Amino acid sequence: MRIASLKTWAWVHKWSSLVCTAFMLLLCLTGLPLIFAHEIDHLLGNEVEAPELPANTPYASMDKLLQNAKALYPNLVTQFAFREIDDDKTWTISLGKTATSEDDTKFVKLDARTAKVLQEPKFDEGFIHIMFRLHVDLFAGLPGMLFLGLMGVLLVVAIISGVVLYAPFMRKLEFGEIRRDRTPKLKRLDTHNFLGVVTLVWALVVGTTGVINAWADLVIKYWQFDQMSAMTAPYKGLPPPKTFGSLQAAVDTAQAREPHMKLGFIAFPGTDFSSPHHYGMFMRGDSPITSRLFKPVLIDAQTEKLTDSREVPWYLATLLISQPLHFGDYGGMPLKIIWTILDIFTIVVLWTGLMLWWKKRKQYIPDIESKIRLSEAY
Amino acid sequence: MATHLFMQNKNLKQIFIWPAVLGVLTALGLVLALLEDGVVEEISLAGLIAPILVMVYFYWVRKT
Repeated sequence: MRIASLKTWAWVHKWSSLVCTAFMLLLCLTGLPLIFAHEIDHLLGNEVEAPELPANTPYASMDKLLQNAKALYPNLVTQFAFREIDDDKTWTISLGKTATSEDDTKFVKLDARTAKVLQEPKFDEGFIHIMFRLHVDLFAGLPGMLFLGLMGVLLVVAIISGVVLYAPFMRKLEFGEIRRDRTPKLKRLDTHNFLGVVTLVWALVVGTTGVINAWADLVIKYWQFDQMSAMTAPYKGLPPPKTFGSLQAAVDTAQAREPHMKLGFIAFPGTDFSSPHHYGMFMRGDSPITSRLFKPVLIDAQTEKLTDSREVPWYLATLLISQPLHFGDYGGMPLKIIWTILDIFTIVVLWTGLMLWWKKRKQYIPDIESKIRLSEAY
Repeated sequence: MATHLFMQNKNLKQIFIWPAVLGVLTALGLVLALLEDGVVEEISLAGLIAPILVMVYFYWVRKT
């Protein structure tokens, strides 16, 4: 490689890394507990499980569940009903001051078979919530998300430039060779290069999907503007209904439309995922990938009849598929452990990279060739 | 293996062959586990473990 371009790559690697390192360390550290968010919540006793009942116990009517949740907060409006991917025994219903208000949301978790209230989970406080907010938006809302997304772009740049720089350093080294018996610097450099190149593809995938996730709010907004408005166009201008039909009947209509899919979540009328006239029923498949690709089925909230149903467009599909690839939540406990180990490797790469720069920042070596000979291209 | 003092300069293929193999295994593992549950998922997890095993081997087992 020409000396001039090598020098440029070294500059790019140094600055893209330095700018994002502090945030990446934060993301790696807060990401660790998030891999096990479910398990931690369980350990902390924040999650109440539904009791074991005989497998053939019939499900209660969704209307009954709705009624029991509303009974706790008669002045609030129901927003969503949702459940975990692997949990058929419960539904959690959220309620707010209006269908779209985001403050002071109440959650009621109910047993899907008996319609009994199991608990009122608090999703907006506690250790996991703090980790989550630091990881997603630094408690700064959309600007925070987009900022972290930008840091993710820098990480991707740092990884790619790092791969380019890997070559000149490895000309005289075996793959995996770590010069531990010489200076700490060489050991640090070899560790950085080796761990960096071994975790390369994983870090690229998690970095890129993280950047895509940073756009989640905007992508969903666009989907509402692009698809939701088209699906509900016939109802435009009509006064919102005052009374609603049966939720269970609406669920049955959606299920009949997609008999091979499972109901993932329900958006009650008036939310961003429905319309004032509709229940938004979001159906999911059963493989790791199709279970992420929610298919919207809009049901008229008065007549319980089907209004429209469309495949998710490419941009929403991209977002929905990038989520499991970022979270590592699609392969059970083994995948979570792999995610943890690779995350720790990445922390070591970040840390050794930072140290390599810190220890040598005052030493000025003018030309890149001597730098590489001295194992210092940063 | 500390023969690098006398070692010829490696070419790009020699430098990147093992990183590329690990990269392909990781990519296959990440994607296959997403597509299918069951046996395919277990095979793909093995692909994802490869980089970790390689790391453990070179860092702690084969100390030169």
